[in-house]
Amino acid sequence: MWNLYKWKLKDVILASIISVLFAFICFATVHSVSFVVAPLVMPFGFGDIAIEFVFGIFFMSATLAAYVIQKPGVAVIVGTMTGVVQVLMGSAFAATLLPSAFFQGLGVEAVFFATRYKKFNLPVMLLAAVGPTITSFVLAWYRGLWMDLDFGFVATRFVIRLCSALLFSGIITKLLADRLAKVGVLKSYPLGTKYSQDIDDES
Amino acid sequence: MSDFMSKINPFYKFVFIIVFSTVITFIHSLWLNIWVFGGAMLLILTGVKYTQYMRVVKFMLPVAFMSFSLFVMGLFFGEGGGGMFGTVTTQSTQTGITMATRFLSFAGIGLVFALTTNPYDLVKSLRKDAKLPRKFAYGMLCAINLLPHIKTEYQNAMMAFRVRGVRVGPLSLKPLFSMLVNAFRWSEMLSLAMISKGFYED
Amino acid sequence: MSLNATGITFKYFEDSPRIVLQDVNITVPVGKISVLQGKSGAGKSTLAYVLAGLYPENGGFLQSGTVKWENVDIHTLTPDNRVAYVAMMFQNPDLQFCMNTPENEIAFCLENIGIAEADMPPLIHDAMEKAQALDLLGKSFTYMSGGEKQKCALACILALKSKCIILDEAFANVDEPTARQIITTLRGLKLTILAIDHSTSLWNADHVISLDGTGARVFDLVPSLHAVGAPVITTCGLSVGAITYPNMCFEKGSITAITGKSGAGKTTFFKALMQQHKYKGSLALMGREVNKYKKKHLYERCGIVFQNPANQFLALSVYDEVFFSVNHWHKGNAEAKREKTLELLRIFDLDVYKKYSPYLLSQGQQRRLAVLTMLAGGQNILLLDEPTYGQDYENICAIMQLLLEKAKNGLTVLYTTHNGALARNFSHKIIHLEDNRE
Repeated sequence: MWNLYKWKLKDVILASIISVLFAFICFATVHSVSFVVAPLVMPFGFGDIAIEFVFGIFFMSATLAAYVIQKPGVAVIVGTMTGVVQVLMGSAFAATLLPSAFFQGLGVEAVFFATRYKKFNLPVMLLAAVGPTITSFVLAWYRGLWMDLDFGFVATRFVIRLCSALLFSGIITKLLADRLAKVGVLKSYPLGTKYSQDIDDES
Repeated sequence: MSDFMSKINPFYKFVFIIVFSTVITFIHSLWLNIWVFGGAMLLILTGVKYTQYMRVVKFMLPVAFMSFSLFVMGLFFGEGGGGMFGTVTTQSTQTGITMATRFLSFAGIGLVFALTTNPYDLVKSLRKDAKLPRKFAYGMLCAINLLPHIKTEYQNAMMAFRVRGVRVGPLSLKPLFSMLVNAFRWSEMLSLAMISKGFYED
Repeated sequence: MSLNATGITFKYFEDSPRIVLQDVNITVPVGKISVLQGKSGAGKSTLAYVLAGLYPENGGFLQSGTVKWENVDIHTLTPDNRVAYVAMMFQNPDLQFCMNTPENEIAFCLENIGIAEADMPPLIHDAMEKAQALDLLGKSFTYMSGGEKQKCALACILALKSKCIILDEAFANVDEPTARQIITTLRGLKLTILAIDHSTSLWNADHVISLDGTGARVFDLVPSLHAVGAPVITTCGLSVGAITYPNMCFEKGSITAITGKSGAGKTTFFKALMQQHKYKGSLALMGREVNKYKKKHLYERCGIVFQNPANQFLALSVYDEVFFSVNHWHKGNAEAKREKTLELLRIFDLDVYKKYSPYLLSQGQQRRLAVLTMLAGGQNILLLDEPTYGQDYENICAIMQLLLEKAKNGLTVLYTTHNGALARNFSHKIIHLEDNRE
């Protein structure tokens, strides 16, 4: 139970493809948010807050992988890998992305560690969304000089990010992964064995 | 003009920008931000080939945009600011400028890296200098090279659902779900292909 | 000297009741071209993976049997040593490279077998030259056609100096002239070749192995074709991106085969028709320009089946998948819809799998299911991208017969294919697209 997950090549590729997929989605979201939504709210000082509504998407790869593989170390490694893959894709935010990605992975890992990698029900998954919200927020606090901002404003940001995380990283990730297991794609992973459905069984 | 920045060992460059950006996370100074950003721009303009200037502009546009919205945010919600369209004070203006330039300095460092490093050299150097295991190095490259394929398949999935009479918007989960199914199949196929070419790591 | 597999019994899971390969014995003679045949679902690909040593190491369970090259047991070797004996070329050319260009890919291969970076350039050059792909050396895989990618895959294997090459339907998605060209290259190299292929004519094989007693057949079914109606789709001076098209016309109830090299713009034409690409010139659907349609209305008239069927599934079971389409397009009571769904499933032998997840079917079965879900719809034009890719003779016939029947009732069918015999027999006309990009 406590030994770290031994990565197979196919898991590494899988985690990287998921990272690319979410990086692609985030990129599209961030761009549509910053060019369509942000201009509308920017005059009110809310331009930078727009991203908070989709922030939960950034945690999805680590949560999804950890939920599917259910082994120690998966969340931190996939979280960090998500950052590295985005840097390799040529993201301009290399300097900030990597520490963020690492801390987000750590936030997810901490929650699963606390439950000893035994429970993966909805409450735990929701907690696993709160973890990275806190770690990413603390990092952004220092980096973005949020101590100089109005407290109510920062608190609002936190609440939005938390809601986004609960929705995307908690609920949606679980729904997606459970459905993947149900259709039989996860046969060789711990989550999939619960739903194992052998095509050769007589119905 | 030369491309000397592209010739520096990518891993050292990588470590440098992370350490540097972590250090400045804890230093709050307007002038430092301006110096860092200015230095980064200087490095970019002299350090990359002029043929890349269009790319620089493409990268800079969203950065400039976000920086401006940070300025407005600081202006209204910074210390001394009066909230939305409230009184703007010298102090809140300064907070706005500090925030905007701080973001620019982080982005500047990142831009220097993104514009002067190609993924293959970075991975090569991560393997040699950082002892990154081969399966992580090639596994990640593999996924990045799949990017064009992923894009087409994503569009195909969106259309396939519409043709079947299912409404899908940019926020629908159905195409994303199809892509996740694909991801599992692709990772299996790609890993078999790599192993059949002699890839081995215990 | 030969590659010998004796007593292979293989399952996907140790406790699974289904045996995929039961006591299979085959011999692949050295320096010859052997073709392996069998129905789809007979376990050909699985056997290929076992022979190449990829299974059971990376999946499945080998109950008994050995694979030997002379006295060397392939399954006891590590991948880097094994590659000196056997290597594989895969069916989907998009999913077999991890790097961006052939140059980098071959360097990756050479690194696997422990060759120093400094010694690589001449070896890479040499391998590309032997594979007759020297002009592709620094080209990105993204811009290559399926045939070009398979040439590069061959170059990788040549660089690794493998003695035996196993090809798992490697030319299923490559046009015939290019496939013949690669096969000629292979023949000239005097290597040991085991090809899994539904067509033997392409290979001119020295040796044919049948896994289940069935042989492959050249497509020889010649149906009697019905008369066609008025034009439904017409093009004039059409161009999409760098691809220019001849003036084309598709009549109501007609079946048209679109052939040509991969990259000649077959799929691109379909996508232009579905408003996925902008076009210049005229492309009219029922007398109205395609780009004037609302997407919703266009998709009510035009259906499409992609090469990757997994993209269009949305239900948890095969039954629900077809029922969704039937329910969406047809009126009537629930019982009638249920009957209709089952009837459709029976046509393609999918009724036994009705409770299973669509994703658990084989690739060939998934493609048949995708065709069914579209045929259950009410569109009057159907575009099919390689519907027979990876299907065996019986299933090709089943798919084409069903299309023919629907066409008699007024469905306009356009399909792309690399199968020349199929295109000749099963179409009112063939449109051959030349590769005329700048």
